[in-house]
Amino acid sequence: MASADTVSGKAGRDHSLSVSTIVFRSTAFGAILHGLIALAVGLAMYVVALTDQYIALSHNLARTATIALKDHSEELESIVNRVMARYHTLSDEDRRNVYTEEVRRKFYDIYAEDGYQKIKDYMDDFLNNSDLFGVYIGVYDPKTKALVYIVDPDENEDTGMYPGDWEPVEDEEIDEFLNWGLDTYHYSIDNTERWGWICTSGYPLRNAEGKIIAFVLADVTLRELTHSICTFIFYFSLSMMLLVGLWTVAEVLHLRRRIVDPINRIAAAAMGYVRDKINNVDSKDHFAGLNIRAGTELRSLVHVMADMENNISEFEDHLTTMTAEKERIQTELSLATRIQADMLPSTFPAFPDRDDFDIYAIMEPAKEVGGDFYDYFLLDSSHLGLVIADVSGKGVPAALFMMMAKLLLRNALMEGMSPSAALTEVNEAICRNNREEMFVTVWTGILDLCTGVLTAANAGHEFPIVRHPGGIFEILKDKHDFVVGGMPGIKYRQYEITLEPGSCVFLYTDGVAEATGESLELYGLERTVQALNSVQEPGPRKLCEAVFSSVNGFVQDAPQFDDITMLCVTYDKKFELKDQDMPARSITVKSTMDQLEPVTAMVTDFLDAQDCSKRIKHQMCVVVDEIFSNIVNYAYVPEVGDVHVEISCGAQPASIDVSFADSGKPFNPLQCTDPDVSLEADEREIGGLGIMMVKRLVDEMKYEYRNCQNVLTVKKFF
Amino acid sequence: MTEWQLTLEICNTMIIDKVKNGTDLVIYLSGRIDSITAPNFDVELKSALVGVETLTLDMEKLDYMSSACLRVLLSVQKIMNGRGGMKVVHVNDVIMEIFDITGFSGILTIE
Repeated sequence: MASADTVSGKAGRDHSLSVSTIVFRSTAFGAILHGLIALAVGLAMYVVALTDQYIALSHNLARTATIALKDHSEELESIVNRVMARYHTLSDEDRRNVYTEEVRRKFYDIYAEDGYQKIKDYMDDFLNNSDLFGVYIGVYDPKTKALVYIVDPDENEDTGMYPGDWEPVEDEEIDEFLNWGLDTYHYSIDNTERWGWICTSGYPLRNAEGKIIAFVLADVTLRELTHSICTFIFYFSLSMMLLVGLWTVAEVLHLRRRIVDPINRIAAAAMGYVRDKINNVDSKDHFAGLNIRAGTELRSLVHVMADMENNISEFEDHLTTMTAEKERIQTELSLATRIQADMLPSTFPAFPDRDDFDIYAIMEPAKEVGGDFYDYFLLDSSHLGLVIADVSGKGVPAALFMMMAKLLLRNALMEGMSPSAALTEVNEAICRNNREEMFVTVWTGILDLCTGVLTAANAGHEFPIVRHPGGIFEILKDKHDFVVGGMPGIKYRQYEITLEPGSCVFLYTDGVAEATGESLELYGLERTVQALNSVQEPGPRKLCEAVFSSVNGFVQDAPQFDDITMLCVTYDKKFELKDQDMPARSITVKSTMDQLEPVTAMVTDFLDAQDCSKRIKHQMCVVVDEIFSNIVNYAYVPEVGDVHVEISCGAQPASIDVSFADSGKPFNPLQCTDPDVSLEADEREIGGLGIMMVKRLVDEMKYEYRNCQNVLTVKKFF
Repeated sequence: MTEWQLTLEICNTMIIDKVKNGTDLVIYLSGRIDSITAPNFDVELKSALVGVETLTLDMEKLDYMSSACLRVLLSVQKIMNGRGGMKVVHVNDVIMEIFDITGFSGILTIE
């Protein structure tokens, strides 16, 4: 449990962290991206606006200066002409040494003139000593492609220009200047070595005839511009970072409150649910108790999960009930299977003390419980009852029906009925209450082990397969009657065949003949007979197993449709009844109680010789005691007379027969009413018990009064 | 503590062992109690009942009994009903069948 908690706990933490992180990152990234775009756009607009301002400033400067200098145009024209004349006299070397004192000295006389100084001062006043911009006059010399400076009010050693100073000019640039109209102006922005970034505007200065005598040029340094841009970027970035930070934090907090926390609570509830399930704690409402703010999908999720919890709980309850029910049914079914299996005699060898016949049976139900059954039992020492049957349908109904049919049949046969009488009786019994209209096919027979006569009746069952000594197995096409349970009032017929020692009878149900292989071919009777005839070793077990393995080999993996049942009997030799050698014994004694002892002695001697059980022996002693003492006490009283006791064995079925004859008063003990045996000790009458005990202990009791004698005969079957 | 022990052979077919311990009497029956021996059994049993509160009849070695013996048992049972009681132990199949047939299994305390 501890490890599970750790794992799920870690998962939960990872989960909340990751959602927050994702939100934080995406929000921050988006904000920064927006900020950068805003910065770029803002910066561009700022620069453009500022630059326009500078251009306008330089332009205005140049124009204002031009207008101001208009009054001095004549003087300026003369200065221009003289400077230019002198400029043209400069050697190439002089030109290369521009800005040097040596070259400048050649123009010093012009510079020193009052007129020149006056214009220079005028322009200087105009500029008002600003170092942000400068205004100067220059002339373009097309011959040397240079701008020749005429007047520059700047007196700074490094930046100021002297008349005759020049600098080269590109063709295109000057072309634009030359082609200016009256109302146009030109500007250029350059990064110069001497002044850094500057914006230059020029304006043509014309004389009275309108001829361009020089250009008035105004420079505005852009030093301030770059400074402004840096300041702009700094403050913009600072404010943007603050904004992004605040926004991101706010967004994450909001999201955590609205999404992450509810998710964590749902996750905790789910973990609690799982933990309770594992620990078998029966607690409900893990999800229904969660208070999630309305209107979000999470709320719907919680509702769905609460429903799910309820449904699972109900389903589990249902499942538990169903499983318990199913297990109960399964248990009962397997119990039913066992009970049913126990119903069929399955201990082999079935009669280990008999060497005159042998029997073997196999029953393989298709379902858990089947409808086939077989039965065999000794009716007495020399009569073997055989039954094989197949109930219509399968499963539990067939099994229940089978139980009933089997018991009815066995009871009927045990009562001494012939096969046909038994079938008729059972048919009536079943038909009386057969609303489900089930029926059973039965083959039943009684084999007389002394004579080998098999008396059999067939109620719609498969033909038996019989082998006579020295022969092979052959189908016995016996007479069929209608199935048992089909309709009432049927009189079943029976037939007899005689089996010689060495014969064999094989009985089976349709599960054998109709076993179906994967190719949908039936196993068939022919294969059954072949399988039987292929067995070399004797004995019913080998025969059954041979057929069973042959059927299994035929059907292979195909599912078994019907119960497979077979019963095989071999008749090995004729049975000889022991009691035929045993002569009857008799004794005649006086009717006094002390004569009971020789009578009892004779009976026990006789029974000892019969190998009969101790139980029967003691029961017979009680019977003899009761009858004899009854005669002693009533027959001749108060006289004494003779009592003749004879004991012998009866056959078919084997029994012990004892008869008592006396010549006393006629008395039929069978007419005595039995005493009430249900009374308490204090209410009980003495008397009548003896005769009642005799009646119950023997199987048959007969009284005759013949030749002036009471003859009471009792019969007890082995 | 055993007060006294007595073995009686009544005829050659019935033997009675009596073991008395205070007011408890245990009688071991063996052989058979038929119409001949029952009267002796009746006398022997009743004479031993003086001062007895509880009676136990052990039938482990008894082969069978007739209705004459049942009469004795019924009469002794009636006597013992007024005292501490009587029980029958180690009853075999044959005797149990007789008890069942005659309804004695409902009267006697059989263990």
